[in-house]
Amino acid sequence: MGFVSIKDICFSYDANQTIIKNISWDIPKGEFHTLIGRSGCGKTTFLKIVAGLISPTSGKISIDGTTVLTPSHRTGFVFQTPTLLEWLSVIDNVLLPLTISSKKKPEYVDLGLNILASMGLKKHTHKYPNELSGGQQSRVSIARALITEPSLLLMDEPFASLDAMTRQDLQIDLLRLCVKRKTTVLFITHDISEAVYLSDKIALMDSGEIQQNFPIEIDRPRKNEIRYSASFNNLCSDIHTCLKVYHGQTDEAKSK
Amino acid sequence: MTKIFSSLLFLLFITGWELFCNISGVSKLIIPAPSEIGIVLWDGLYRGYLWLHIWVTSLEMALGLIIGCSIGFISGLVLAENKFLRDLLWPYILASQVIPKLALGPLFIIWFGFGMTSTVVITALICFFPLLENTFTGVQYIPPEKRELFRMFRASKLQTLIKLKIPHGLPTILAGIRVSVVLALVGAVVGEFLSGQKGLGATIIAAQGMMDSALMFAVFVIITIVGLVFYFVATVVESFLLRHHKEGTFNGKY
Repeated sequence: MGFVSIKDICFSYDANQTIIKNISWDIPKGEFHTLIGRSGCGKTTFLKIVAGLISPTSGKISIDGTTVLTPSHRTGFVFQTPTLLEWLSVIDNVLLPLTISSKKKPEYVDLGLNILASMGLKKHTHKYPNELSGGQQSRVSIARALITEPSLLLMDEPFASLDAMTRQDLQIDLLRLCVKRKTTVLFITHDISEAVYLSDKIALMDSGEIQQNFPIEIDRPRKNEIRYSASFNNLCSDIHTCLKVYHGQTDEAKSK
Repeated sequence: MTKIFSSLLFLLFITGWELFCNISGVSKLIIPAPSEIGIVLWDGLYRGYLWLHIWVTSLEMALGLIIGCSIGFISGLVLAENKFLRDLLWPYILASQVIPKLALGPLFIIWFGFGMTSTVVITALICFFPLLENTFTGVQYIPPEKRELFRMFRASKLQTLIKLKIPHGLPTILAGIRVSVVLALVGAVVGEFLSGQKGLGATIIAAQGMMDSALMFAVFVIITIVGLVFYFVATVVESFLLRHHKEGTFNGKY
């Protein structure tokens, strides 16, 4: 059983429409797993179930042996948009989870400052979200998710709205921080190259089902240059082909 | 540039009015000339006759605003957070607001007597509903992702209200205060028509009794200035409180 153990998860809003179909998944501690799939295939719903924000219709999720029923302080969540509170400064946004759990002590402020420094945001500590660029806002939202030192980080397309260069920088920073903290990550994206660069394993999802798994056997630490290697691009091409095949099959099944 | 044109328009209007009064021969009982109004206004302010009334109206307005807005804000929060109370009380609140508050004036005079109390109660009642409605709306419409963020932090209902819903709804709540400021002046002046012995509304009634149109117009000018001052203070407070909110919120300028 993995650090994160997902067993036979199903979810439906009503009897006629099943969103998630029988997903089982084990994530060993410290690994970076990615769920990839087209928009509307059920990725975000699945991630929210793992977070404890939505209860599954059937099945069981456990993190380090503890069954997930509600959100836990051991799980961090990064949303598609930064979801920063615009009336709070950068440091106050980062410390928000601790303020809510009444843990805002001087040592935690230092922790927040350290995380911001490691994300390259030291000089923006006392700025407000509307004074930051999109990339900087995403960095703050990651820093906020990491402040509680979660053992599992769930990320829902956090870099989707960023330009390619900023996205690459953030991917590098994210990998560095997760390796340093030994954080287990479940990441969602529809960017194949992002998934291959970041992950130890990629699961391909279509119509609420995991269709295929791809172990990524590229050595770590991963340099940015590997994105231009033949093996990297072949892997991206294979995943892209599979994604098209499964999506085509689903469309065919629907038309019948 | 627009401000210059705006000032020129005002000068043009005053000049046209003055000329009309001088040339047309209309009785000054019906339309007094601006110069005459200016003299009465200056006289009232210089001799101190009007200051007491300005103070009384401003005090009634401020008290009515504070009481009405406070009750409206708290009621808005309670109704937004408690579905049972919302379903239970909303029809009654709505019914109470459909009744014209000024029609209740005579009843308030029986209950609270002539004077400041009745006027403050009328003003507070008028200010109550915009704040209730705007607070209710402001704290209800929170983006789902932000709600989920607070759920991930395992925030209590009270923490979510204080740290997310109220700050997020602040632009809407403060817009309600701006509406209340305008209505408060109406409440205070009309309340004084009915029950006041002092105040700008009572002065208008006294001027009517003396057929002193120039004094009436002078009081209109003062009422306008009092309203603008209150509105300006509200927009300054609003701009300060919303200085970090997203662009696009009201900044006191149209």
